[in-house]
Amino acid sequence: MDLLTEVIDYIQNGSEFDETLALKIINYQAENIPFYGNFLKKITGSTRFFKLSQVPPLPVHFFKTERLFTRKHPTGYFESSGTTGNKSKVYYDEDSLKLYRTSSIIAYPLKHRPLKTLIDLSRHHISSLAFMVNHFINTFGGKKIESIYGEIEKGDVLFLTALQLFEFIKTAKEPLNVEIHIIETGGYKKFASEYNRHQLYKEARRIFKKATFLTEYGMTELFSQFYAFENTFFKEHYFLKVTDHKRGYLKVFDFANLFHVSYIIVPDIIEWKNGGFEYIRRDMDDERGCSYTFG
Amino acid sequence: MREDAVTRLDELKKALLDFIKEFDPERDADIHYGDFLKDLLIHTANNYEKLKKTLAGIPEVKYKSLYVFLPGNVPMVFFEVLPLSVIFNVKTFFKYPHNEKRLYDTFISYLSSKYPNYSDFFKGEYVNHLQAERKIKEYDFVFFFGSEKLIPLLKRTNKPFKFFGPGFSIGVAFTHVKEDLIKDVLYFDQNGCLSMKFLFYMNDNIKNDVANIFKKLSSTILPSSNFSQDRFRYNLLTASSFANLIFHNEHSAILEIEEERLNDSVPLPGRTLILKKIKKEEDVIAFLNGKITYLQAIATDSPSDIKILKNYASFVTEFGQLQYQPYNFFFKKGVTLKNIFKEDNHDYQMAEDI
Repeated sequence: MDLLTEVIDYIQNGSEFDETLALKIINYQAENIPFYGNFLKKITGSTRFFKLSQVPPLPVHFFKTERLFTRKHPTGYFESSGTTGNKSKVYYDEDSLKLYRTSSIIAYPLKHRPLKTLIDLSRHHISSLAFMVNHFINTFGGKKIESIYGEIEKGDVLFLTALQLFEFIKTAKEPLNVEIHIIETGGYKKFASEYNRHQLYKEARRIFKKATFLTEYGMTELFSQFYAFENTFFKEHYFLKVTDHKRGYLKVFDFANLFHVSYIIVPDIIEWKNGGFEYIRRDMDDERGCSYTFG
Repeated sequence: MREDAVTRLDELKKALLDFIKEFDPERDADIHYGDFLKDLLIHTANNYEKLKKTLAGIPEVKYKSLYVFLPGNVPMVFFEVLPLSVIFNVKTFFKYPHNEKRLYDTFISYLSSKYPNYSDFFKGEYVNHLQAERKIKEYDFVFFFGSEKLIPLLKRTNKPFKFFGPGFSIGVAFTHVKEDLIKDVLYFDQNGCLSMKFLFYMNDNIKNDVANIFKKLSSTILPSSNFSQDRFRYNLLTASSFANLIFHNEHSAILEIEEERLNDSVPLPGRTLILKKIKKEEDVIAFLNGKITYLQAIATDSPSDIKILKNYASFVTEFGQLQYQPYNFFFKKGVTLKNIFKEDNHDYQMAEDI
């Protein structure tokens, strides 16, 4: 069985984190992404590992500066939505998109419900979020909508960015008394004031009287996603494993990242609680005093 | 200059020295910076004394009030602005950083309790940038310390201002280094503009000597209580891709860069000294790749041999003395008591104008 088939089979049928397969993936990525191989060699002196704890996670920063793809001929790339500086580029081809489709559906907690979205799906070739939501609509039905009023029905899933939700509730005139699920995508750092998902849910409930709220925690650099319902924490999956169960930067192994880098560290501060994690905030490196920070 | 400025400097010095005797980091500060803080505060109090002798001929200023944006994690700036307020008799409001309030409030209360004439002279609180922008309108002059991200706000205020920072400092080792160099690097977790970020060396033995100093002494200057180990590790992993790791432990590191020019798109970790071998002073300018304009100060084993770089720095000193700034250093090259209230141009442009 080739590695792609093995990983897809694992994502579809696995149940526990498979460290042996994870190490096989790291070895494959180290051999086929020169930058990653050099990184591992420089930090550890090796590119062959026998335990995941021996492997340093790759800072997500490098998706902005390096071409991290195991194959020579990508067919495109997803770009992060960062507003300043370099943007992350995550290259893909048809095999890697197959992995993305497989893992995102398995991680998605609201299968078989029609999905309505305000997200611009025309960008599905460059925005991984648009690609994913488009795939959910193709799989479970639904559509892109222009307005929330009049287009939402009982049982729908409303999928939108946190900023879209925030903007809507700020200007909404009347409450919507429809039983729906609302999935927002986080990204609170774009807000003018500090926000967390609980504050956002509380505000949103003034308008969406009968909604159930969820947050999707995903990023361009991860082909699998975490979800958290209201009053619960973000759950890891066997194929999307958080390797450090404490407060600190997110360290995560994503099997769906087979063709780029699976084991990464993200400067998002999380806190592990009751078998899941709470997202605290993006570490903005804003405590730098008056020293000039290079980078 | 008025006699009362001398009296007020005397009061300030006495209050600070008395405060240091009673200072309890657990009780009196939000962040525990380390034992060296008291030592630096004593040095600063003694600088107040030296300042007294430099007041002749200093013009009075037309401004009656001052608004100060303090940087985070570098408490010395607050104590270095205090004498300026009293010399020029400008009532001062400090916009505290989000993570330190107690140290400043405690000292202001202490000063006011000893000398009631200060009870309405110094004030401070943490406010966000939006609130600060509104509050600034009530003041005549503004000092900005810290990040270039303040520049848009600074332009919008339409008040006369002085912008200090950001900056960094370097070491240049011709033949040897001293153990005290560890202070230059690790005080305030390298957050100050007087912290040494790079050590340029000419003698091969120096690399080993610096590594030995770090092995022996880096744990004697522990990180501040708000030091982020995750951020340190993350930035160290990132920097390791273009630099050689010479030494590291849980909270400090030495990296060496072989390239002739610094790749300044990669964040550098805190509490980390970057080594770079050079043959001549000009190599430093080439390596820093335009960032030389942010250079603040230089520590070296031979100050008299710094010929070219001294033109870029505010001062040159011996290893171990970077953080013990001269009494006549006012945060930026070219700034003196005579011109500190001369306003910067509102057309101030910086690279990161967002």
